[in-house]
Amino acid sequence: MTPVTVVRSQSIKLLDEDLDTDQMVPARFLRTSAATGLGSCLFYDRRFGLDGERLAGFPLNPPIYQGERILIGGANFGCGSSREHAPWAFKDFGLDVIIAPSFGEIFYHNCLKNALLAIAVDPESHHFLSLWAGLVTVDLEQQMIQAGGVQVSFAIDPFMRFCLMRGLSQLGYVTEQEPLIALFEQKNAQRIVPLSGVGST
Amino acid sequence: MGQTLFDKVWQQNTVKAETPDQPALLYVGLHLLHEITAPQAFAMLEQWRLPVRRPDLSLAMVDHCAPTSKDANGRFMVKDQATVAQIDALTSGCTRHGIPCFSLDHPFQGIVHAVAPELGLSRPGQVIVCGDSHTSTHGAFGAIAFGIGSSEVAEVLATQCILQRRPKNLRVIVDKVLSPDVSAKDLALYITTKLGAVGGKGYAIEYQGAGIRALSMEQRLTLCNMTIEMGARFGLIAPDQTTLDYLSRCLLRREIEASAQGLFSDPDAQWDKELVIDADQVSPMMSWGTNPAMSIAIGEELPLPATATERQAYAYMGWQGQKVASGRVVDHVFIGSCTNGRISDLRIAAAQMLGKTVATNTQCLIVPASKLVKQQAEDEGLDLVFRQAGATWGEPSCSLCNAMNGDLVAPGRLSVSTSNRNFEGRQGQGARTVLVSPASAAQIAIRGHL
Repeated sequence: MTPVTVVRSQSIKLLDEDLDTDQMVPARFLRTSAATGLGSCLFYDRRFGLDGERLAGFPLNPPIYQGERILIGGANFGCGSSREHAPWAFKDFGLDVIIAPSFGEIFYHNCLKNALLAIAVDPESHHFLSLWAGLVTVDLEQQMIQAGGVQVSFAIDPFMRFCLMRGLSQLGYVTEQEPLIALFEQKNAQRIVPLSGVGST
Repeated sequence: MGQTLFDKVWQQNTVKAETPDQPALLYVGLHLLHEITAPQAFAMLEQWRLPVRRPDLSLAMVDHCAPTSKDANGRFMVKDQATVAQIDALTSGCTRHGIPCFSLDHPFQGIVHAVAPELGLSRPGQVIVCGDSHTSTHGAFGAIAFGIGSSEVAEVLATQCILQRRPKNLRVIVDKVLSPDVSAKDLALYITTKLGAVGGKGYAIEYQGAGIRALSMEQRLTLCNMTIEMGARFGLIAPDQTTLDYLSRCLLRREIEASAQGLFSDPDAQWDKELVIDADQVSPMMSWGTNPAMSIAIGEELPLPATATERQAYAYMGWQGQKVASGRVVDHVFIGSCTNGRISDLRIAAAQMLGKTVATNTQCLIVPASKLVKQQAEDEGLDLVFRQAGATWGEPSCSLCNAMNGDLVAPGRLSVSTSNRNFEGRQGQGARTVLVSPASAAQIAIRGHL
């Protein structure tokens, strides 16, 4: 994965509250087993009308969208389904940072697994950023957002930050815990009961 | 200081303890997979050249895009080539890695959150994960059960472990027994309105009290299933005699009594948040908006939308000019899903529909949550009741809960549904969804309007 360090861009605003992952990638686009090329599906039913025409007023459509890499979202951003297709679609679309007052928990973790930096900020800072039209700088190492003269610090799990800054997949970290896992299995052999009688067809 | 049920299960399954710098590593006792979120995980494993560590603790099935209908020759009418490819990606991945997989023709196939419980595979004290947000369902057995993304599915396949920070503890106490006409679905919607769509964020929710103890196992599954709609990934209930009795009747029952011992919250356990529900205040519920927290008691006046989100939901649902929901024409009724597609749900629906006919303006689709539920329902003659009423009796699938298998509600149409989400477009682009219990759905199907 590409390391996440500093992202600097203007921001696009999509401030609706409770935007669920069904809005981000409607279910009919999940009939693919690939994790790529989903940017074209992002917010499809909000970007396009029933006849397929582009809705110019939607923030992710031009002329409003100008290639920004930072999105300011609303509260409970990404609630609902666990589909990782949502962060895959954001990344494919060209976004690297989402800043919101709060996130759906599964979506939040899925973002951080995909070098998409999700940042929860307090309502006051969120309000400021939702009105700010200039450049925004997000510095993961400093855990700081700068917009004009305003600085907003943010919290992130130090483990997630470590992995993101080095572009490390957590899969690598987990597989390195093999000796501990083997020990746990040995100690708990009686509690770990293999499934039986579930023969496959 | 005492421990909560959640903390006990957490501790029992900790491979590596949490520190400020690292999340805990938890051992997964049951890993469920399905065709929408597992194929990408198989691709990740293969990219890393990693084997599946414990195929014997993993189980896959086709549910989200399983067709509800068969053709004249008894063949499943799979929607399109993309769906064929998706099912193949799951089954071939499982074959390569030695994971048991219930494809369309398997006698145990069904929705993951119905099948694992009914077979007796979801057990007290386990960590259970699945690439599906409604995995909270299995918490009804006193397990830590939660939805994960595809990257995490790959991590679990490779190591049988999951990285996790411990959430805070929230208890919801239902101190009295619910009235007989109120179901666990109504209770879940009621609690969601009290907590809000984000009220459970950061918490594991344990349901306690006489009102919970009195719920059947299937009702407990419904309640825990809906926990994700409160913003919490985890919902759980301490195992008791109801749990043990249920498990002892399961097809693939295993020794469970020992594993359930001591699995309850200590009286002096500390809670970070608490909500007490007066069971007398809970009546049959319906959603009016575009998330489950936007719900009211049936018969109550529609709320005046107060926020931009509520105004948008109100407009999307087409309530303009209406003070009350009643009288509005219903185009579709869907009874099924991992929330309300179990045998007890179908019995309740059948009791309402016996000897009656679905309104001419309404299409009613009833989809059992699994092959075993379907068989049981047919043994009891419930399918006849539904067919004679004019409803369609489908093959096990997620079906209209997420509208991926070809079952769709047309734009602007109103669907009354026993599923779990009324999000915009959930049942089809532009479709409008009202969430209710199975009893309410069946009554509405007969009447043809709210």
